[in-house]
Amino acid sequence: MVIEAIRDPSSAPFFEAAARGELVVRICPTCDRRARPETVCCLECAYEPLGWTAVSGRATLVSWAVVHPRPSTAVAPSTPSSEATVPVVLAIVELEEGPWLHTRLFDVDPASAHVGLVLQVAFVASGAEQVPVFQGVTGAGGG
Amino acid sequence: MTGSSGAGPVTSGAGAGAGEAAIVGLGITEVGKVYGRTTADFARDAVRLAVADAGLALADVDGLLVSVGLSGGVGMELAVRLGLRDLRMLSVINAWGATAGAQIQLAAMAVSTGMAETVVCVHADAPLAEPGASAGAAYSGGAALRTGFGSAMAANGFAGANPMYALAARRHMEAYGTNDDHLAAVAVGQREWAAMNPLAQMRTPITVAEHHASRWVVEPFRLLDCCLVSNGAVAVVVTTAERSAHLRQPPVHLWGFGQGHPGYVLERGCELGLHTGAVSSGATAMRMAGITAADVDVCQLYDCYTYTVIVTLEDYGFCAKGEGGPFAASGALAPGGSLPTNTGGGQLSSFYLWGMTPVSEAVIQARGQAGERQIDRHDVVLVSGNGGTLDHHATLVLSPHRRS
Repeated sequence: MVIEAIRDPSSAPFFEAAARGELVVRICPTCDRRARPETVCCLECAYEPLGWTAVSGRATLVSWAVVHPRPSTAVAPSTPSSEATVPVVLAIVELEEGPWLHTRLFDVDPASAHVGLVLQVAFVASGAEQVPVFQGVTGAGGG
Repeated sequence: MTGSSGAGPVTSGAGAGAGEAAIVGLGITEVGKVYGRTTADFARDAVRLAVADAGLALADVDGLLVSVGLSGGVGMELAVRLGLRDLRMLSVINAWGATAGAQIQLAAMAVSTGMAETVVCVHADAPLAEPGASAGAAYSGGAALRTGFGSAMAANGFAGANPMYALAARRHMEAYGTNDDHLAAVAVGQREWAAMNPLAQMRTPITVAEHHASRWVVEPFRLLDCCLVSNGAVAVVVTTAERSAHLRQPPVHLWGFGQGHPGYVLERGCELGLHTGAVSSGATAMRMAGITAADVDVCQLYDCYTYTVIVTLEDYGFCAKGEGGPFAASGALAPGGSLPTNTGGGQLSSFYLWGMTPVSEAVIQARGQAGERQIDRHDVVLVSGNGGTLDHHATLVLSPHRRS
């Protein structure tokens, strides 16, 4: 069973933006603080509702975890990653603007992953939606 | 108090009240791959076993605090199902892996204040549905990952707790040099303890090489870095220190307790993976108990993963930040080591019933009933619980001696 992204009312603006190739995060209209997309209330001044704002899509790597392909067993795979034939590199990335995202590295060899690796958002289709993944930036040393 | 090196407990002017409660009953059902019984069946059994262990009758119980794992199916109705009447305290408590600590803390406060006199705390779970079912599938992620923001994570391959803790562990490894051998040392040491625990699901000794050869679950975690999945239940009975002296079992006194909920804001500067709620929870509990880490004889630390033990040891102050890995690799935690830790095998090797795994072994050690794995010096036993992705922490300081 491959799990597909499905929007709900609170995430609709996020997926709308993703469909345009744009990454958005929450922003507080009173204090300008940016926060992860699922944030509901400003963590500085408690104001809600929060607005949305586009970010650059540039990020650095905070941490990563590798889901290795698992030899098939009698047990039905329960996650998309357990069906994968290549390692899936899950990650926490820090957006240039500060918020962290739980995401996946795309086209990054886990052996070359390191804290501070410079990344750029890309979008991949998942069902009817687009979801953000991050890939290395050619020419950027990272560090 | 006898036998403890700690000068603190007697003379400290800190905290009063925690020492007025004691754990007097422990009930552990059959645990592990036990099929054909529901979570509620296990819960009732554990309560009956704990009350009988204390030398009490169900009619003596006037408080019940219920906890249930992800299998669900147990709630407030447990009281009437057991025929408990005229209770003075009844709640379902949830702080994930910190629940057992939170239950016992509430129970201690209830008996210390006179709100209730005999409070049973129970945790039950039965995630393994049938023989052969995937253990991992039992915890592969809930409704939160099916729609909305969570579904974007799930579409990228996130499922359950394993990747979240793997990300935290990797961060610790990158920041402090914690490595595969350090993680292995935790698993190997605990298996050595488990070999002496008849209740443990996994009792065959393992080597560092076998740890390294076990399959990846989510790198940096291999199979032998991850806790078991178990069916079963554990309950404890909490009453006043005064009354505990007249019951069937040697009392286990509560010297101190605390909680810590860091409220990580996931953004630049976040300490996820590096420091946990154990920092404040441990400080609160040890201050209340009038001890320092140096006074602790035995540790029972929540070990959902090998890494969790390492970061918790650091946060409690048993070693410097970043030194948890080398500390484990020195053999300190294993049989014969300077800080016997997870002496029943922990969640990695004995059974996984949230915070009741470390609590149950702490009670057994504090009573001096651990058989061949009994630690001679067990005057101060430290217990941790940890829930969410290091989001929630609870600490208990236990002792066979009443705080004077």
